[in-house]
Parts: sequence; structure tokens; C-alpha cells
Amino acid sequence: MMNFEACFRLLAERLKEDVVVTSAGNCSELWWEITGDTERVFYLEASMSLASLFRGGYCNGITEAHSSCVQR
Amino acid sequence: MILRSSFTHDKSPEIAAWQRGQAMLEKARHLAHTRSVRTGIYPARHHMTESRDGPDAIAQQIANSAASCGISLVATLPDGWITPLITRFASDQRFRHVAVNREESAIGLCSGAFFSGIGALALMGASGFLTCVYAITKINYTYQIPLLIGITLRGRLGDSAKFHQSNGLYLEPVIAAIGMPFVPIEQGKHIDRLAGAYRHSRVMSRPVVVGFTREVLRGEA
Repeated sequence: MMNFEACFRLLAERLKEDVVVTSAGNCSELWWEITGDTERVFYLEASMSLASLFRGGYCNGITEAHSSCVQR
Repeated sequence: MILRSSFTHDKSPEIAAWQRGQAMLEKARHLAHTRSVRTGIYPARHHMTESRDGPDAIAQQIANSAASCGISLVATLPDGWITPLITRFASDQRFRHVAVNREESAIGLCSGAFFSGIGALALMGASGFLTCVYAITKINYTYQIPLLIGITLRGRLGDSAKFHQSNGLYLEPVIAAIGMPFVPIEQGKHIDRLAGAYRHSRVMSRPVVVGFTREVLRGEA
């Protein structure tokens, strides 16, 4: 079974065009550690389990987009 | 957990054609909406069901005020007082209406919409609003995300529902405690304050809450 970090590294390799929304502090920190990305990521910490809704609202305003919500 | 939304990946030619059509339709709606907001002129079909008084007329006025300031996404939770208003938003083509599963979902959805340039309104009852304090302070206050929230002013004088009296006691003190601007709308002639509240939210980059009395929502004030 892959551990948490290995999963994130796999995702980071594949999500090259997506806007990413993270869901919590440790999730954000690991994603930042792996990608160092500041262009396509919204580091939503303490999201109250609302990261997927947040991402849904964002997608509502764009017609051509790939977006992913990374949650632990 | 990964929730993936890809509009262009892994699709058949038919789906791709449908998606292109949807994108063109959406763009046309957006252009029409932008033009209407700029000119104040809306297609006649939006006013076909307009009545002169009562809850439906008030709902129409509130919808017009929301549209006038650029709101195009409305997330709602049911409340008996705002049923005609929710119905109006759901049937009005100027808005995309999303019936969410809990009040905090409205906060999350509308907050995300801000980052794609969409004006949004979260509409709910007073009790539901009180469940959102943590989401509002964690998300909107932390990231300075503006948001217009519409609520019912339950528990005021004349509200015979015993189970809403706690709102009469604690709703406004809680709003004040978290430093959120509160705009009560107690007369029909003040409905346009909704648009002002929306603009104020944008200016200060924080949520603003607008409260409607039962009398206003019934068209009696």
C-alpha cells in the first residue's frame, strides 16, 4: 500500500495542468514540499471539509479548466 | 481523496461537441448578463411572472437587486420564509442556482466562485447561518474573501415559533461578536441595500450579512 507521501508524489507527477485546492495544513505543507508550486495551487488550510465545494465554486466561473481537490 | 473535474480529458467526439456547445451557451449567457447589468435592461421573459405585490413581487425585487450588482451564482438552503425567493432564483435565467446540502457548503461554494470572478449570494435561514461561524472565520476572514450572505431574521417580535426565539436572542449579538457588517432590511423600499451590501463586501474583502424580516418577505412592509 502506498503511503500518504507516495500518493502525493504520484499525483504531483500527473496533475500538470490542473488547478489544485488543498484541504488542510498538513496536506498543504506536503503538497508545497513536493511541488513548491504557487501558480496553480490554492493552499486552503482548515477548510472545514469545504475544499471540494470551494473548488466547485471556482469551476463555476470557468468553462475550460482542469481542477483537482487534494484531500487527505 | 481526489475529486477530478476535467472538461477536456477522456471524452468522445459527441461529448466534446456537447461541451463546446455548452461553453458557447455559457459564454453567450455571460455576455448577455454583462450587457444587462451595464444597461439595466433585461430580456422581457424574466418579468413574465412578475406580480404587483406579495412574496413573489418581493422575490422579484430582491432578484433584480442581486442581478443589478453582478450576482450570478446563488447557493441556498431552505427556510419557509424564503421559499418564494429561492423559487425565484431557481427559475430566473440570470442566475445559476445551487441547492446545497448544508449551510457551510454555501460558504465554500460562493467563496470559491469569487476566485473565478463570479458574484455570489449565499441564502439561508438564521439558524443555518449560526452554524457557519467557523467556516466564515476560517475561510473568509483568513483569506479575505468577500461574500454576501442573506438570512431570515427569525425570532423577532411577532415570530410565534418558540424554537426560533434563540435567534432573536443571539443572532445579532453573534454577528456583532465576529465583527461582520449587518444590514437589516425591514422595509420593502430598502431592498436595494442588498446591492450596497454586496459592493461593501467587495470593498472590505470580508463577508457582509443581509437580514430580511418576515414582513418584508411577505410584502407587508
